[in-house]
Amino acid sequence: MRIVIVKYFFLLFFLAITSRLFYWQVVKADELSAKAENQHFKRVQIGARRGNIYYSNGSMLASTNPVFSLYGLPKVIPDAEKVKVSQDLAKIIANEKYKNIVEEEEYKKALSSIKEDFSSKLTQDLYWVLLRKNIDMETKEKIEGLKSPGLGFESSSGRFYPEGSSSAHLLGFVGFNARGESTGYFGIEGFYDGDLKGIPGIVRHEKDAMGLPILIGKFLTTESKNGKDLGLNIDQSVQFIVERALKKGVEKYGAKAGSVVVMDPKTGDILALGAFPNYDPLKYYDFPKDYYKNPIVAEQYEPGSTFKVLVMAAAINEDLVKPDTKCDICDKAISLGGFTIRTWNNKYYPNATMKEVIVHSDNTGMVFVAKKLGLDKMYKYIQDFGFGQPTQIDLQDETSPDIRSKDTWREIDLATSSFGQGIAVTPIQMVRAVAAIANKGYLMEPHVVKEIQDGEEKFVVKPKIVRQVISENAAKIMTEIMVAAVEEGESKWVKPKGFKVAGKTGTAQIPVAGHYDPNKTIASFVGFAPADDPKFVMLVRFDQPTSSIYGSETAAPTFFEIAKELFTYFKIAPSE
Amino acid sequence: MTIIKTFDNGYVETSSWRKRRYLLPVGLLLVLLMLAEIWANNTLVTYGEKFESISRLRLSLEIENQVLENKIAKESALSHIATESATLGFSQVESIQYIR
Repeated sequence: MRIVIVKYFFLLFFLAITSRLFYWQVVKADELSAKAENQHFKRVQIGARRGNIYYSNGSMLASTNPVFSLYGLPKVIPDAEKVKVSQDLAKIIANEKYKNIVEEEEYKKALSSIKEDFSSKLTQDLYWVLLRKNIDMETKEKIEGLKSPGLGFESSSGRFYPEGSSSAHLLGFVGFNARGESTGYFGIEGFYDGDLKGIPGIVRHEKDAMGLPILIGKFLTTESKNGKDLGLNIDQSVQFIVERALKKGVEKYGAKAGSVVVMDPKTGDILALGAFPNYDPLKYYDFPKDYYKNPIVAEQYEPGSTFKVLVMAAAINEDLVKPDTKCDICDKAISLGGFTIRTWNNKYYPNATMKEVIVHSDNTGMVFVAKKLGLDKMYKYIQDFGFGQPTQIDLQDETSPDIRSKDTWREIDLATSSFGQGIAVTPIQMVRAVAAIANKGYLMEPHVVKEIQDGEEKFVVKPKIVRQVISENAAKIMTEIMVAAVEEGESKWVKPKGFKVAGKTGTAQIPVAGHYDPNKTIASFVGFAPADDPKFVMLVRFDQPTSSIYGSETAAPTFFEIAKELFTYFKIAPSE
Repeated sequence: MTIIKTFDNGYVETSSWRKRRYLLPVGLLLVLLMLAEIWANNTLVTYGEKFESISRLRLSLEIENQVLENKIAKESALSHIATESATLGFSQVESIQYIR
């Protein structure tokens, strides 16, 4: 009997062990395997380098800069040394940031504040604290020179712009999205973010007790793919010339803002693009959000008299007028639909020719042309010149103001649109439309990027013709008229001698609360040169200049100042 | 009459010796390979530290290269060159004479 009991006891004991083994090795198998894998395997993400951006000559415009985050281990640093460590670190950081930049008093204040910050972090009851982000290589080496225990660095990468805040509106900036991932916003960084950011890789390997890889163990790698590099059409020298002249112009004429865009009319390549006020793309968060928007592609304005060249070109193309066609309503102001249309200076030229209408920037002459064209043709040419639709330029924040439906246009709208009021455009639309005149009537799609480099492969962006708006002959005639506008118009005093420049000034009043403010204008000048074989087309625009409201006295001198330097740079000799 | 084949000892001995002749070097090779694998595993298993240090060296060289590239780009930026040249006494050309 006792033997039977013992036998059953052993059987029960055996069953208990077996069932427990079954539980751990079968029921809990997956969970325990996962835990073991976590302990045995290390997963390291390999970052992908963000693509570089180059000027047309191969110079760097944007690249990646290694940056480091300094961390401290409060439980490793002895208590007695924490004050000294804080002091030493604060000195290095403050010297980098403030020495020789601010006054001595301010430097001391900053030094004290940084020291307090480090001190408070290192005295916390934590194993790990972040002390400082975005430390550069030089500063890291100085901190490493302290040989303090309990300090370490985590590396990451940030963006680097060798030209500083130059080209800010062109480039945009790299910020962080809601998930904390680096993302490009605005400009090229935003438009090409998907190409630039690359794909991170992963290395998964077995690790030993020290966390070191076991080479004979499992080693699984997914290679990272660096972002694609972009080569731009932007010319480094032209960009520098434009930004320098623009900054000088904004200050000289007391303008609220200014912008310049230079384009190759034959290909649509954007050679330079600048706007003020601008911002530092590395410290975009220190600037108002309004500054981020690129005014050349995202801001609308009424073009004023610069629009006249397009309306005149349309009428010439339709063979409705010729350069010597006389205007029989130009002897006085015109009353239309309860409104009075006057010239900008209240001077009237009876029987003015079409050439004279442009030279004198005669609003009444343009009403004559608009009546000849009629609403249907006027509307068609406005659309054909690319207004009312985006230009498809490769910058992120492009917008396009709508052109009101033709049914809503009244007689006064037809009249005012002929001299560029009552119609809204963006600067890129305006310069592209005038470029069509310079390019034998062909409207081109503007492009900032020339090529995209993906490792060994290169994708080249080819020029794209959108449509032919006017005939080559009409473009030639209009060019001659625009040359006359420069030679004989209000801006003849600042024109460079010996060069044939085709252009037009514009002084558009700004609509404020339903009416036009006579003291607030958008002063602009659009033109191309050399007129016979244009190398560039350029639009200069000042927003509310205070020294003078007129384009001929603000935008035109800036245009010619830039043009003079461009003639030298492009080795264009005077033709006269 | 049943004919029974006689058992020829000599024949059997010769064929089993032939088989052993091939088995011996193969067996020796296997043992050597096993020993080699054990040696390699033992050696490589501690190479993780060396691998890590080479990875760190590669990363630091890449970082150094990038920093130097950026330095060159900054020095050749036109805004920097303009400032430096002004310091050295260079000035902008005011007028240009064209010689035909």
